[in-house]
Amino acid sequence: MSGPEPAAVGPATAKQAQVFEDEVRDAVRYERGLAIKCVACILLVAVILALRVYFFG
Amino acid sequence: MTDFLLAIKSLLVAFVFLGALPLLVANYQFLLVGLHFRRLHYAKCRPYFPRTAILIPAWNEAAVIGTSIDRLMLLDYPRERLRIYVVDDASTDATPEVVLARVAEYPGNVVHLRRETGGEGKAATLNHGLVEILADDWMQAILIMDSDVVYERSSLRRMTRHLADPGVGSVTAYIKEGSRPGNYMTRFISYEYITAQAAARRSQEVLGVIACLAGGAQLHSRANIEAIGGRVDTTTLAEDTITTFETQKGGRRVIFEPHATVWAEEPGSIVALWKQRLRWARGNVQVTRRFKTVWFRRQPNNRLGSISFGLLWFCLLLLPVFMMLASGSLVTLFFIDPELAFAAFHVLWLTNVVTYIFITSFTLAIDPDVGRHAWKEALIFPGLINVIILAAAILPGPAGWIGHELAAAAGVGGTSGWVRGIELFTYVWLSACMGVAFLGKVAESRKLGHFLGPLFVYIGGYGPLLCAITTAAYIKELRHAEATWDKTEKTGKMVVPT
Repeated sequence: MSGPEPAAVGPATAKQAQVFEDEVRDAVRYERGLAIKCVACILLVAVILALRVYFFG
Repeated sequence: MTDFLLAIKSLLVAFVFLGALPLLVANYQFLLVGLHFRRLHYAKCRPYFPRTAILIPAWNEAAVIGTSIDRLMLLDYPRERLRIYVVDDASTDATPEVVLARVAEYPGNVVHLRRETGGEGKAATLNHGLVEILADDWMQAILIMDSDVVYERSSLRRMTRHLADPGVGSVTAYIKEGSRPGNYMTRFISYEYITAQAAARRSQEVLGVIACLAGGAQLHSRANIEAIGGRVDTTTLAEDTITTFETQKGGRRVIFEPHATVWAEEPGSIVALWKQRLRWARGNVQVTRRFKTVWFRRQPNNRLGSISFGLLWFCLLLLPVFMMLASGSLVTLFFIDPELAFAAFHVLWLTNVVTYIFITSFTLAIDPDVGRHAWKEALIFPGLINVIILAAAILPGPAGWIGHELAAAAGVGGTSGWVRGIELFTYVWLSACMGVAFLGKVAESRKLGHFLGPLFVYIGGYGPLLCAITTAAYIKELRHAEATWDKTEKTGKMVVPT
């Protein structure tokens, strides 16, 4: 026997909706930030390899 | 004869390069993390608070179960929509008393289910609870957790919002190690969990397939738990992974919600870690066999058979094999053609350098809070000797100068035998590091073990220790050793943000 479908739960309160919006916005911002961090780490690898090739080879 | 030798050399070089495959796949996995923002599920979410049954298996958990229930009652979630079912697996400590006290304190929210005959393992305990919970239609979602884990207040509602999408079967959270101040082992695990959970699950989500729901944080819709038969697998040591695979085989999506944080107390010693991870590793071998018709084969309604996912799975599962193959090949090449051996090693080790820098820096950036707590263990994750070899690969000039100075001080400077000895040692170390890390386990329970155990792990490496455990799992599975459920002892000494 299955429980009621999501629609039966009822509308979220205004506060819940606001919390939801805020948390999703923060989460999306964090995840986009990870893309930037990823690029920064790739650049770090590139710099170290360049130093290795040109100065410490 | 020359052609035969050439063929042998080519084969050995190929084996060395094969050792680079897990490194390349690891880099690929972390690159995918950077794309996770493109696969977020939030567009199909909304504030959603289904009636949620929280299922907690408990065997002698008096030290932690009370606090866990108290913390669950503090969740930012409508209390009338929460019901905690503690399945007491014939505990012989004060677990029943602790739980019954909470039943009285939180009437209608806590249910104590007692198994008079226990010891059949976590999966059997979970199934006892599932039968009770599915017996009526109150439950709309079920959260399966461990007795010691602590949910941050927002965690559950961050997870349930994904179930507003009927296409989602299960949701898991980000488990973090919570021992503070902890010790070297818990700090290694803290760092490992960023790589294995925060990073790996994000990348899997980009690929459209999740390898495993965290055992301590698996939320299922009622429809999903019923679709997989209303019970969890009892024939393997990886019931959570089986559930994850079955969910996706049924065409339902599994979501990783990285912003729902759950804290767990993890092993603080090598022996305890070995026990826990041996169970996990054996479970993974069993899962690999169970789903042998899935790997690298297109599936009609899921991505379990994708090449990328197969590579991620098998590179991790077979990592010790790759390491031993590369090491053995280099040693053989060393005696046949030392210059070729050095050239092949050079390629392998430069790949290692790139991987180490990229993954270590990115992992620390993914979760800077844990990074600040465990940065030393992050740097030394591959082991002290391996880090020295990595440093020598990055800075061959200065490293060579230091090596010659040290050799001169020891009275062996400038001899070609010394240089060849170092080369051979480096090749052997690729696999020997696992043995040295294993010595940590052997030493830990003996005299001076509190000193020698960590020393061996620092020298051999935490990563190689995990590989040694995987190797032990292969052996146990090949011998068809008895699969017993070894409980990880918990003390309840966690400091969790409120």
